Amino acid sequence: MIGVAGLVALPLAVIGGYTLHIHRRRNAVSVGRRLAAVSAGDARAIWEIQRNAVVRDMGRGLVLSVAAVFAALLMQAVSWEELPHASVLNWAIMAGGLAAALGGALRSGGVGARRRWLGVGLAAGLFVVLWR
Amino acid sequence: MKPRSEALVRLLAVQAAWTYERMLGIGVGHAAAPLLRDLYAQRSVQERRAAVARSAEFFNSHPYLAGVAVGAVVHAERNGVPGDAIVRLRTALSGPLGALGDQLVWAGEVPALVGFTLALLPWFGIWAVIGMVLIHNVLRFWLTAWGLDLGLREGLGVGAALQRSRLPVAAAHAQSVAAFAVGLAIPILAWDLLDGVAAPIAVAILAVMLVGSALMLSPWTRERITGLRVGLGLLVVALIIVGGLR
Repeated sequence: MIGVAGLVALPLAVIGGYTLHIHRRRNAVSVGRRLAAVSAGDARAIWEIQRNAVVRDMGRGLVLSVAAVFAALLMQAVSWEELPHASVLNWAIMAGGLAAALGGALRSGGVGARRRWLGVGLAAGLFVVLWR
Repeated sequence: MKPRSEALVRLLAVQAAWTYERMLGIGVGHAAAPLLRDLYAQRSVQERRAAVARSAEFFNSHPYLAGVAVGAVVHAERNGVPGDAIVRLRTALSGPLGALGDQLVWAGEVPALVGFTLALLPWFGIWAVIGMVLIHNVLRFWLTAWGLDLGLREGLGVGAALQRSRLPVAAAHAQSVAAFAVGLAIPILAWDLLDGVAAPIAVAILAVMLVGSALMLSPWTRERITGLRVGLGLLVVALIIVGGLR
């Protein structure tokens, strides 16, 4: 069910963005601790900051991945078929996904040539759909 | 590993130590270190330390094009350019590299690849996604290596060399390709997702899609409404309906 997938993926995207912010704040603390050494051109201090940041970011990625797999397994344990209106979740994700795609395309399309190319693409996509 | 190769590998993680205060500074300093170590092997420790300290100061650009700045700065250090001129070079490169990279990658290559991948998804499934990831990473690696070599070759003249290169033209074209690819994907995606959904429901989904897009574009709501928020909002409404009608 695409709705159940969205139930895991969308909150995880929010958590991913939030933890990235935390990661960057931790980087700032790490730089602050070695500020004198960095300002004096100590390559080892720069290397330590970078190493710690890479390790922290790998840890962040690992925790998020494990959380995603755990959440997916948890969702599988729920009998979604027994819920009479579970399809509403699918419809919500479909509508949300399509709105994000269309709104995002129109937003970034701007004016002029890019919007024209967006129109050409939409026409080509419609042609493919009708042709099938 | 040769200093250039080491710098190239380090540039792949240039954003790892990103901070709000120095932005890419630490990553750029880390990437430049092997080239400076090699460069200053015959010079005094003070000269090397001064160059390393300069290389790790505040720097902001597109991460994939940070190699241009690393290469140019190392070239300038090699030619004995004064420190304040090198700092000015970094500052001068920051804005153009950020703008060019944003146009080329974030507004061009990435949405273009995502659009084509979504359009191909009904036929190729997971292979379309694997292909997208591979192509993106090959392009990313190539761009970083090309930028580093350009900087190492051109030094202080890297800005003019960048303008002479095909990158600015490629950036303009990439955005048009991206617009076409996303446009192509939307009807195909809608058709694939709505396949098997009853006609009244499909119409309702398309209506919600139009309302959601309008909210993302409206001058009154566009600052607050993003695609993610539209999706999350609809999901919450759906959960209330599913829970309430059990």
